[in-house]
Amino acid sequence: MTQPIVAVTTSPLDLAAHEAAVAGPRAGAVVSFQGVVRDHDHGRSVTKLEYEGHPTAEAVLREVVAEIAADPEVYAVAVSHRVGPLEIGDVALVAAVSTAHRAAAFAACARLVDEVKARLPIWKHQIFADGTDEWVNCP
Amino acid sequence: MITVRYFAGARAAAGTDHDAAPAGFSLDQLAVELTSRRGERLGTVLKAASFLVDGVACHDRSEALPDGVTVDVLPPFAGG
Repeated sequence: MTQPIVAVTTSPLDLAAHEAAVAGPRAGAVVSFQGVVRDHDHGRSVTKLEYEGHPTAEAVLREVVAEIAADPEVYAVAVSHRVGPLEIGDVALVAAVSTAHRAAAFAACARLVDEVKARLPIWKHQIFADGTDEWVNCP
Repeated sequence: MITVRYFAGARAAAGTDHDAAPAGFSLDQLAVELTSRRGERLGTVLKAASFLVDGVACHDRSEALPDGVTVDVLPPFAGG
């Protein structure tokens, strides 16, 4: 197994590197996920967006990874969140989890992504085709 | 003095990325003060926000904040 990956970064994300980081002779199941910038939200056309992260975001990500990795069925976890300006089709989040069997890997990867979305202090600023903008989830 | 740092939608609502307030305010009192200073749009965000005091999550909104701390205003998260 290569070095674990846990990062909040402005650099493009590498799915294959995350999958390789969790692979190994024991790992019968590797489940990965990509969160991709899409061109629509709630029926409105999105032209671009920007993610902003709090300075503690990577430390929070490490906490989440430690919790997921504490599951005895989970062999390894790799996850990165991109911040900064992104275009449609860019990958904003990559997660990969390995276990012995597929059900545990699907469940752990889903839990990982849910926890990242709930707990990571990262915000999304969307620019719409009509020139308006919004901070997602901000009242 | 308390230093307030606004992030993301809180910064947009405040129209600035930071503020200063007197020491001794609680988070609740701080929210009232900042709302009167920056407007109701920020007040709405503050009601939904979470707060870090010197980088640590603070859930007690009635406790007096000591001199010299930095309060980070975090709007609801939207990562992933």
